[in-house]
Amino acid sequence: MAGLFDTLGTATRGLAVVQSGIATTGHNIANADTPGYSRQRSVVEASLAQMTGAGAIGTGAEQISVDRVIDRFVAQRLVRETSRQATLDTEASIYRQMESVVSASDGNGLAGDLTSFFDALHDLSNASDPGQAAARTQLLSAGQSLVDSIRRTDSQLRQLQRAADQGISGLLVEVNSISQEIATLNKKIAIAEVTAPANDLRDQRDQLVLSLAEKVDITLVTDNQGMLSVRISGGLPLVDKDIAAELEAVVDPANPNAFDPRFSQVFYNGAGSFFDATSLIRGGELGGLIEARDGTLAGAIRELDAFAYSLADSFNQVHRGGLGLADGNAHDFFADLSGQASVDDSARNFALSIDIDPSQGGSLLNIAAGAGPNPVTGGPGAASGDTAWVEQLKVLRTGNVATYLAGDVPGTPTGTSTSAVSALGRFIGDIGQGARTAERSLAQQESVLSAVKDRRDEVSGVSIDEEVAELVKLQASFQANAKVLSTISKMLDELFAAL
Amino acid sequence: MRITQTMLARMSMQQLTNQRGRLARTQEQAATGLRVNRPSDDPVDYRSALRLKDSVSQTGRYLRSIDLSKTRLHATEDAIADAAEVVGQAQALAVQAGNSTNGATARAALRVQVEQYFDQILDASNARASGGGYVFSGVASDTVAFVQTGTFVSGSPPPTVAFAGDDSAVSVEIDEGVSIEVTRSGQGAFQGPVDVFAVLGQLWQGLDQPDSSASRALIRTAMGDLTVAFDHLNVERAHIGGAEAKADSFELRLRSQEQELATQVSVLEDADAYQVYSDLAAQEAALQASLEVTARMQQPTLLDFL
Repeated sequence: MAGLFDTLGTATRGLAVVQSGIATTGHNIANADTPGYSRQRSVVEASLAQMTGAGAIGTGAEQISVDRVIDRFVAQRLVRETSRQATLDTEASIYRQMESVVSASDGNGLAGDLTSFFDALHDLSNASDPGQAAARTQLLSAGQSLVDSIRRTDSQLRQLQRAADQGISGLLVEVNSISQEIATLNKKIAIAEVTAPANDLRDQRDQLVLSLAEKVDITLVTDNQGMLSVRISGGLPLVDKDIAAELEAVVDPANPNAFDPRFSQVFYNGAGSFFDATSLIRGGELGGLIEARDGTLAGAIRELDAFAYSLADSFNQVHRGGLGLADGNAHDFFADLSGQASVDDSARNFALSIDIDPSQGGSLLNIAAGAGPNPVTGGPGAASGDTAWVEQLKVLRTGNVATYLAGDVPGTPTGTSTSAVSALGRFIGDIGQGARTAERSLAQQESVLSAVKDRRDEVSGVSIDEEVAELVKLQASFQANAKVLSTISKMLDELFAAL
Repeated sequence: MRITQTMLARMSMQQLTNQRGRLARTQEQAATGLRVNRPSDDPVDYRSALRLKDSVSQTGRYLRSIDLSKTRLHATEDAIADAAEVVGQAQALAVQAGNSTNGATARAALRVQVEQYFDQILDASNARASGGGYVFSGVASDTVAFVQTGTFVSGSPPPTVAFAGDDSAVSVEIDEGVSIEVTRSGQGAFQGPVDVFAVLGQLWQGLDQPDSSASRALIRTAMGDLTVAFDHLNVERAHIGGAEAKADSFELRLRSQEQELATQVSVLEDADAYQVYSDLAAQEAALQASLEVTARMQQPTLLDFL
């Protein structure tokens, strides 16, 4: 049979349980807006009953633990979708910038300059003044503008590539610091959890894992001590218990994908090994930047090189068939292209070196407008009014010529036969298509991620309404327990008075 | 389903961001009047529009070719018309010269007249186009077409004129693969069936010699040859007229083609104004509503009622 003092103890413990419940609720309310915070719940059980001859008499409640309310499956999805989101976000942002580089809506872009160039050619064929000095000057300057425009596009694409490269090096520093923090937290959690679940430390760690997932694609394994192992895309351990590996940016001149030998490769340094892991990294912002630098941007630069080569080469070929005013020699209009191993030879940075043939700069007379030697003087140069060969050059505007693809060897074009304007249209259109696809994938991913975040908040988020209701309930509970206490106290008083 | 404050906040922020994004896009369309503002708006249409815009520009250049061709045709025609008129006057003079009642003074006066005709035709045959090139020199436009040797000196043979230019007509492309000749061959026009200069020389010689059956024969032959030259020059003019007519018909065709292409570009690129403005109004209203709802939704919690 339980005595009054036992019941007094029950009421006191009840008050303690209620108080810790209020503490937990207060903690929840205080952290309602803390990023990554998971609501906590005080777990209460009826304490062990006192067995008497009359039966089991209850001894009140006791608090077992304070738990985090989380859904492991949602947490894992959140990590995965955050990585995907970061990759797609990077991709879309790179495409947006590429798009604005290659297209100018005011007509002063690549396409506008190509049109102006052929228009100038047209004007040369119309010129009726002997020697066509004005029209030749105009053609030369339109050609120069076209070359400048190609160069500008090329150098802007390269700037984007360099920015991506710098982004990669910068990200590695962040990745290393985050993985170091995770390793440290692992240790703290293992120590703390000898006694009780380290809810807030775990929340902190989950939050770090999410920021790591933004940077790189990761998979997670938790051991029985509560330590979290993080592996990056290829299964490389980035954090193993309380030891963090490092990713280092190493300048790699041998990188076949890089146009610029100063680009960095991502080296894995951990578990006693040190090797190039660039190709293993796929997801997150890091994967997105690597893909942009070595894939999307490198591809676009190569395509631009091949376009510039095709244009200059086909134009030069026809140009050499005509005659200038000064002599009977065959002249190039664009810079001499012979001697390149491939049309996008990285060593020669073709689009950067495309240039109006110096022989054109030296003398306007070398523009091959004439079809044959001067019939009156017998040559060797063409007659001053002869612009018949310009018609042959003009054909290149809409006429199909064999085009080069990136990687082709000069002399053997493997591209489809198309006109310069169509080829440029395809180059710009492909980037536009890429941008569109990236934008759409990103929009879809955003709604996927937002659904996962909603699911996480549904489970782990703090609802003020709920917490306030809980508070009201606990308050009542506190009053009730206090009432029991005061009742017992009165009874004891009466008892003592009777003595 | 548990609804938490962060969820509500995120949902409404996302809604607002999406709506603002859509509104910004519609506003851009309204401001530029274009549906395709960048390649990614519609890659396929962007590509087609790019090609079509180049075609528009090209068509514009062909129209310019036609304009300039016409100027050159006019220069050619003016020169030939001038020459034909002078030849016509020479014909009348030859009829008068054939009249045996002319005295020595009258014959001398007629002779001087012929000398002037000769000079006028030489001027016409060495006509220059607006750019400064010799019209009848073919592609050698900086070479004087007709060169005179000798002068008119009584008792001596008349001067001769030799063709020094390029004996070809200059062609200009007025549409893809279509060319017209904007000049005529100089030699063909002025020294074709008969050498106009030689005929005038003959007439002059007939007048320079004292009246005799020989001199009358010279004048008579010259008279016949002048008729041939006159007819020939008119045929040359007709050729030019033909080229001009061809240029005119292509001009009409190119103008409608230019318009057609511009329409196609507009169909591909342009925004439908009514659609854009009604979208704009609808999206603005939706944004307004969202803002109001968000403002109301964010406020109350259970605390407000305790």
